[in-house]
Amino acid sequence: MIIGLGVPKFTGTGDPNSSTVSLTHSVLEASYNESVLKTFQSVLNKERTYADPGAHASFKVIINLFKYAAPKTTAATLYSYLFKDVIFYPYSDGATLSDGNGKAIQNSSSVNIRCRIINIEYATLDPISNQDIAVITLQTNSLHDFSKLIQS
Amino acid sequence: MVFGETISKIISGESEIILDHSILDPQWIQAQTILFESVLTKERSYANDRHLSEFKVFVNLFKYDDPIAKALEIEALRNTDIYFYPHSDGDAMKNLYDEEVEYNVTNIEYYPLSVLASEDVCVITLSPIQPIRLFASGVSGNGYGTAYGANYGGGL
Repeated sequence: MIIGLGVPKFTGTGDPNSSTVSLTHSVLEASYNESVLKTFQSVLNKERTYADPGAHASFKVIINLFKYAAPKTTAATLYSYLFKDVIFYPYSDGATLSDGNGKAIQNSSSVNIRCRIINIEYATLDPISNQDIAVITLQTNSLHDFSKLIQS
Repeated sequence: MVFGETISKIISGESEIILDHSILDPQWIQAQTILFESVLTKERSYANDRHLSEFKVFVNLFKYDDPIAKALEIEALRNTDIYFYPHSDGDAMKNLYDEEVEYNVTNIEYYPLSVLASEDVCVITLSPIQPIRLFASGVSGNGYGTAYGANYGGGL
């Protein structure tokens, strides 16, 4: 694929830690282009101009907890990142999200765009099974440039 | 399973109410976060990193020998504060300080299982009075007990 093949992963940004969590048994549902495009239209001649500073992105990662050797530990690990900022790699062998220059927006030390884990849903695979899953929802804190994800 | 395997139970005062014939519909995380987004840069920031957990329990009253007695037992809980165990082999719901949280029985609805059936069911809605923490630090284990522990964990 043009933006990677590996499973998703994220790295903590210090709170609660800076560890990397690889989401081994997972399925990614990505929405890369949540556009904030603005259209300006002249009231005189109806000419249109546009301002496109980038786009927000959001992700849902469905994690098959039951496929892990220790599902409860994995569930607790994910929970420790709830409402925290992370650096998210949609594909662990690909790039992370970055701005139009491929550089950091959040700070000056070349840290890539942060995503926040805004929700975790715990459920079972189907109503009568004992197979636990977790669905984590992430969204970007800053606008990103999709072209920077494409692997050369 | 991660949060336990058995049916739900309620502790109300000194009484323990086991919801034998029931199905749990949990909403483990109800985020209470407030999102701020700059109209200029679209930068996002957040406040209030807390969440609640709310539950609905479907109780198949018709499966009890005396459905009326069970209905009365459940009805007595309406608008009272109780301790709720989503799974009776697990823990009660706890707050940020690892203390058990009281839940309010905010609603109980009664209706038949289907339009034509005379099989009574009821749905109990439980809401916490404090923010919840699902996992205390230092959690370990597979959560499936001996029945499931050996079956999972291999392969994609």
